[in-house]
Amino acid sequence: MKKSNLFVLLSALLALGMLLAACAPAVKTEAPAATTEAPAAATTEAPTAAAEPVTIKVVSFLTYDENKEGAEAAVVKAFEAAHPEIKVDFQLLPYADYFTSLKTWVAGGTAPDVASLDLSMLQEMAASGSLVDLNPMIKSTGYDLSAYYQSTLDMFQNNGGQYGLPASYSNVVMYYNKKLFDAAGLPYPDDKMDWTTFVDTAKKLTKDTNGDGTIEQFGTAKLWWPYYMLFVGATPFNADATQCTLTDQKAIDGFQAMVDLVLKDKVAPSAKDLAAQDDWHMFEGGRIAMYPIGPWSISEFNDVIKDFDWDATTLPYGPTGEKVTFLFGNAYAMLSSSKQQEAAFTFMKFVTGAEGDQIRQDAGFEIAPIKSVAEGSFLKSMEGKKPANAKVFLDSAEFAKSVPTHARWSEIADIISGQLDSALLGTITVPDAMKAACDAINPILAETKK
Amino acid sequence: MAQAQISHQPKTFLSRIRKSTQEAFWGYVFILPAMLIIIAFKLVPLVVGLGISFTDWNLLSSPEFIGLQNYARLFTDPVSPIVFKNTFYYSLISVPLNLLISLGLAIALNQKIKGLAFFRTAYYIPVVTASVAVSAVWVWLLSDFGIINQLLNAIGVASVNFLQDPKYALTSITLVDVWKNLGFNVVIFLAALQDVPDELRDAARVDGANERRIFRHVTLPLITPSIFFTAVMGVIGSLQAFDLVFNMSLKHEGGPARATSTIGFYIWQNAFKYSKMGYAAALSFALMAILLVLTIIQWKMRSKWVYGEK
Repeated sequence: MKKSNLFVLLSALLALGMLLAACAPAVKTEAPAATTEAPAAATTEAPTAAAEPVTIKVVSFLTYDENKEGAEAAVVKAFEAAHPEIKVDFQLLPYADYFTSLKTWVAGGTAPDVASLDLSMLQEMAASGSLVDLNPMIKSTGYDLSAYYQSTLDMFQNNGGQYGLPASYSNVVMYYNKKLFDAAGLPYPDDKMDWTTFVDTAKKLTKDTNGDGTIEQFGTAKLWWPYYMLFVGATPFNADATQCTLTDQKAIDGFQAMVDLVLKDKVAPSAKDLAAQDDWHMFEGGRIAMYPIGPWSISEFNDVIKDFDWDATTLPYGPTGEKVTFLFGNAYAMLSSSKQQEAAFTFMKFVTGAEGDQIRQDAGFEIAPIKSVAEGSFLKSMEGKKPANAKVFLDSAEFAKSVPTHARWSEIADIISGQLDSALLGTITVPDAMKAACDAINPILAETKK
Repeated sequence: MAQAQISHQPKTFLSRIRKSTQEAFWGYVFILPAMLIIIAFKLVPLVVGLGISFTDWNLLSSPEFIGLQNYARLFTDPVSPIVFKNTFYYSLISVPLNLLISLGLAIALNQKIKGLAFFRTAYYIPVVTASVAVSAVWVWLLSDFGIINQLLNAIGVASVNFLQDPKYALTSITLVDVWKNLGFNVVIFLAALQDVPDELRDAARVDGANERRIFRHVTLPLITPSIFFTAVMGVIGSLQAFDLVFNMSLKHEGGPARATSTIGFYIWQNAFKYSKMGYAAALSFALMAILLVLTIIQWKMRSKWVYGEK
């Protein structure tokens, strides 16, 4: 009996040992990650001629789930054709669990060399030192950044470092259903529309068409909450992220304007209305007159909407007379654990440069951050499609702002949106909601600082 | 070993030892595959998880040892009392309700009625249906345009905002949980009811007991082991509630305003949304401790009411 107990113990220990051994390299690889920096790329300018092709591992969620005819795979194929000395081990992943997978690979020491990242992912990774600052490489290779829209580069900076090269960007404009405007005898909205006119127009277009007491047709839809902060020039915290500033009158006024759209004027569907049908499908079904949305809607709306004509204009001026829209973007970034930094940088330059952007743009995905591609191809690709006023997407880039970033942004954002949920239900006033939000956010800011 | 003792063949001490070790050896070989899986996917993660709960780790930078700070945070985090309260509410409603309804159904299904096989299957279907599908259907049923509000309107009651009103959201999800998991208990109770010997019931009837008394004093005591089992499993399952909350709350946010966030959901949020692996692990161990205590209490109490446990 004793012997067999020993046997069990031994086999258990053996299994445990094997597992630990399998996990061990994961911990090891963290060390070189911190030390490998630019020198690898800066010093080895030597010709890489007849040598074995190097392989770099790339993961990407571009071009999202719709992945227009494999646009991103085509970009990679074009790169391999142009650079036979570099092989790409390319993996396309769905956006849903992308960041979790990526973080797990980093933790397990099997991180790729290059990854596509959205704004908040990139900022979180840059803050924890998982990404390479590209500035030294940009300088040493003399890479010209002026081809990109400056605002798209700015998004991917952190503490003066450039942590990603933009691969696509998008912003939000306002679509309008011409049929509903014609039926109400109202003039179409234009880029001069101010907030009061916007709300008045929305009220006139909000209707209980069958008289059953519930609203069937809404004047507009609520945008993602950070817009109502940006459009009055408010911020969630001060410049050095030490103090929550949502209790400032500016922020309160901004969010009050949002709550009023749903609760007071009832021109935008509430959470209850949206539970049955989301605003995207409401617009498709002709139930929303003025719908703020981005270029990712273009291909589906062109396919699906047959019953009415629609066009686009910029978002209206905010209550304080400022004009703002969202700026979203995706970048390619290099992980600091990469041992092929030179090849990785060559790859990044190609896929975010004019050639890569062109393929993505031709597939109709968002807007190219390379000016020449956006101005040349985006508008051309939109010919014969809706919205006819496609130029509005480029015009909006002028006043687009990106969502604030922080190493723990997703947590902060959940706190704010949770409080705003209550405010939108009318169970708490906006000032009280913001006070509660700040009470929860300040400790997080304090913790991150230390 | 027991076998060796009752064997009639006289055996030397040594050969007996050899025989029993050999048997034990093959025994262990047979359980080895299962043991390896348990060790690799349960025990090792458990131990590693305990280690993680003492660290500050966002997956990206290497874990930093911070002692008991994650456990201390359980008491300072403004969200944790909300999620614990929600979870206990969930459990307190769903476990007793599930037991009562499923016992009633099991008794009904134990009668000789037409289409019995159909009903027995019907009640089990929700159990084996993916909770994503169940959630999607119930989100529709409970929506403003859903059939439940239509029926309420038809009898002159105003629409209830089942999933977006913090007053009703958690209760609605809890009731869907009861509906979904009813079938599991029904099957257990049905098996237990069919195990109750007819002789005992007949004997009671001969002694002049009516149906109600037979149920109270013969049937019910005999199925208490099953009630005990389903109660323990129910408490464990309900305190770990996650999937329905994730799928039924708008945008998977556990809202409105945290009204439907359970401990399980908050663990997921901390681990995979906020990248706070250490805190998520600490929450998991706190939950495990609570489950352990509750299960021990239930175990100790069983001698008071479970038949055959003295």
